[in-house]
This record gives sequence, C-alpha cells and structure tokens, in this order.
Amino acid sequence: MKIVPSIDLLGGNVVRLVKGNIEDKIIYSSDPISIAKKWEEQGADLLHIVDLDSALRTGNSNISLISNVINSLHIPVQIGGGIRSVDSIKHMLDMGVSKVVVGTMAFKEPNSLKRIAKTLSSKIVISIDQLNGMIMVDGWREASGFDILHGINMFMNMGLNEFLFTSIDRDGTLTGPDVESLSVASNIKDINIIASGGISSILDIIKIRNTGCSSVILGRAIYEGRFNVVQAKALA
Amino acid sequence: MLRIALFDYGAGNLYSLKAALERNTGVQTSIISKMKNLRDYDGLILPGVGNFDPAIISIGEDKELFTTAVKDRIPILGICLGMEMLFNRSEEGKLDGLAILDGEVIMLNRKLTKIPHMGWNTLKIERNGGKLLDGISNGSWVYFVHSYRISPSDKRMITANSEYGITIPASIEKENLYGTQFHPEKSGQTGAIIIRNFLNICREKQ
Repeated sequence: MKIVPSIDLLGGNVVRLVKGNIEDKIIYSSDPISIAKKWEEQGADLLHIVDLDSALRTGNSNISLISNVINSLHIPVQIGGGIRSVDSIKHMLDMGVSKVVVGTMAFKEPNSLKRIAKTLSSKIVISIDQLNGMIMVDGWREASGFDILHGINMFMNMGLNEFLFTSIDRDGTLTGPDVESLSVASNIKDINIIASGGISSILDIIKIRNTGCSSVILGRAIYEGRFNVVQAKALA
Repeated sequence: MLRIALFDYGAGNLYSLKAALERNTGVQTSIISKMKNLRDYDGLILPGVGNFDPAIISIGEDKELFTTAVKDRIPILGICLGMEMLFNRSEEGKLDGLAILDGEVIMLNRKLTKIPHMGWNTLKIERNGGKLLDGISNGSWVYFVHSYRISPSDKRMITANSEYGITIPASIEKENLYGTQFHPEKSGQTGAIIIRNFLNICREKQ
C-alpha cells in the first residue's frame, strides 16, 4: 500500500479543514515546500496536493507554488481540488503533475471526461467524496446524484479504475477510517482505492491495508505527530 | 400522450432513465419530488440510484399518498433500490421499507461472490416472464449494479432470476407493481423492450 501525505493549500499555507469547512481550518505551516520535502525524506511514495483555493473558489491562485513543489521533489505529485475542465487537467499534466484528481467536473460533465479517459486513464483519479452513501461534489456542498456504486460503475465503464475515496463525515476528525465503506469499494473487481479521511493512529494504517486499498492519504494525523510517514511505511 | 412520473429521492441523476423513456414516442416524463397528484400520471417509476434510508426519508410523509397510488392501480416500476424499497426492510438501512410487498432485502453473500454484482448477467425467465418481460427470451443479457437482493415471501411474484453465486430474483410482477434488480435503462436492446413493455402497461391503464 502506498503512503501518500497530503498538503492542503489555502492562501499559500498548509492547512487542514475539518469536514471541509473553511471556517474550521487549522494552519500547520506557511512553507509548503519544506513540508513536502520532509514527507519525501520520510519515505512517502507520492505527494497529494489539494488546492483548496481553487476548490472553494477563494480567488487566490496556488499554481506557481504547486509548480515549485513539483520541481523540488523526486517523488510523483498528484493534485486535486477545483479541476473543472479538460484543459485544466491537461495544464496540470503539462506542469509535471503525475495524476490529476477530478471530482465535480467528472460528475457534471462525464462526457468531456469520457473523451480523454482512454488516452489518459492512468493519469486520472476520480474523487468519491461520500456522505451517507451518496457522492457529493462542488466542495462537498452539493449532491452529485450518484450513490457510491453507481458513480464508480459509470467511470469504470470509461476505463478509469482509480478512485480517491473520502468519507466526508470523517475527514479531519481523527475519528478513525470508514473501514466498512472502504471494504465495499475496494472489493470491486479491478479497482484501486486511495483511502482518505479519519486516520488517527498507526493502527488505522493496518485497518486500511486489510480492506485492500491501494494507497492511503495522511493528513491531520502526521501533522499533529500522532505517527510519522516512516512508521506508516513500515506497516503498509 | 403518456405521462410518466419519475420520483427523485433528492439525489437527481435521472437523466439516463429519462432519456431511455423518452426514446419512445408519445411519452412525457416528469421528475417529481413529492408523491402529490399521482392521479395525474399514467405510471410511476422509482429509480435505482441512491441509498435505502435516505430514499425512505425522502418519501417520508408522502408514504400514504404512495400507498393510495398503489391501491389506485397506477402501474409502478421499481428499479434496483426502487424495487428494494417496496419490501418490509433492508439490510442496507435501519428504517422500515415501504412495506407494500412482503419480504426483505438481504446483502449478497460475500463468501460466495464478489460484492457488488456489477456488470452484465443473463436472465432465467420464470412463469413466462409476465407482462414486463413480454418478448424477452431466456438467457437475455441485462446490466446489474447492486450489493443487495430481494427475498419476497411470495416467490410467485418472481418473473426472472439471475445466478451470481446464489439465485438473485431479477424481476418481479404483482398486480400493478413491477420491479427489476437490474437497470433496464443500461441494458441495451433488452432493456429498451422492458421499458417499452412498462409503457404499454401504463397505456392499457390510461
């Protein structure tokens, strides 16, 4: 299982939101590059960057900062948050991003995604942000109209098989991962699930590994020193 | 003009179903979020996307209006979750089902098969398939996306089964109630015939 630390960017700072709420933010650092390097040195397989400014349309841009982070690292970088067009996906890939996580746009314009899915299938990750079994979009503020299964099914039929799975009511809460939902999702044939949300202790890494997920995203738990990437790697 | 109501559990995404219905001429579909004025429609469809408890909650106080529509003999088609909701209870949720049909909804057996059951499977027609499966031959392929199966108390309502480790009731028919575990709107030509059959049933009642 891959260990994937997350850098959530808001106004140039590394932050964590609790349950996606902008008023409920914790600022961890104003130096994303040194944080990224720290996770790389600890053995991270991949870095996950969330551009919250873009996702929440604050008006700030983190693009040059993201480009600097990519150029400072040797591990691949995956980016998500506010990717709302095919052009934007291509722009990110041109910048040197390894994988692009698409949420809202994937559900609102599945046909646009379908057109590029064949050629870029290994570079696109679909974000499944679920609340009570339904997939939410637009910064978690709106229902997509898909439940987990039917949403995943639509994209797998396009040839996309990697999904970033977040249980919204767990995210940033340190209350433990949603093992039940993760097991259901990662049990689907030929799927790769990246687990995210609720991880609080090193034991959660084992729990997630046992569900069959291919990667796990670490946020608040490593920023608050509950465990570090080295320890997570040892158990993954 | 045939008027068909599609019930929206609050989640939306009924476009593929709406499109599949409107491929037939003389059909007007309305997406409704309340069960009011069901007498204005010739048929009602409970779509197959959603989760048990939230869907039951979305019907909420309209449950009696729905029961009245059932008694009024309005043809009703439940797809996947829409069919599961007609029963007493489901292992997917804690809330009571609509309890129009006797029986329960059980999770597919993890030990026997991969869950969910996602993809094409064949139909084994029972009891001539009834009106809904009229013209559908044994072994026709239909598309499933589900983790639960129904277990009706009265097995005579089952008009087709599919095999997925265990026998899954694939479609049911009882008086004016019709249900499919698979998605006719994703099931190609076979699905198109099933949708056309339902519309014909609604037309007879018009």
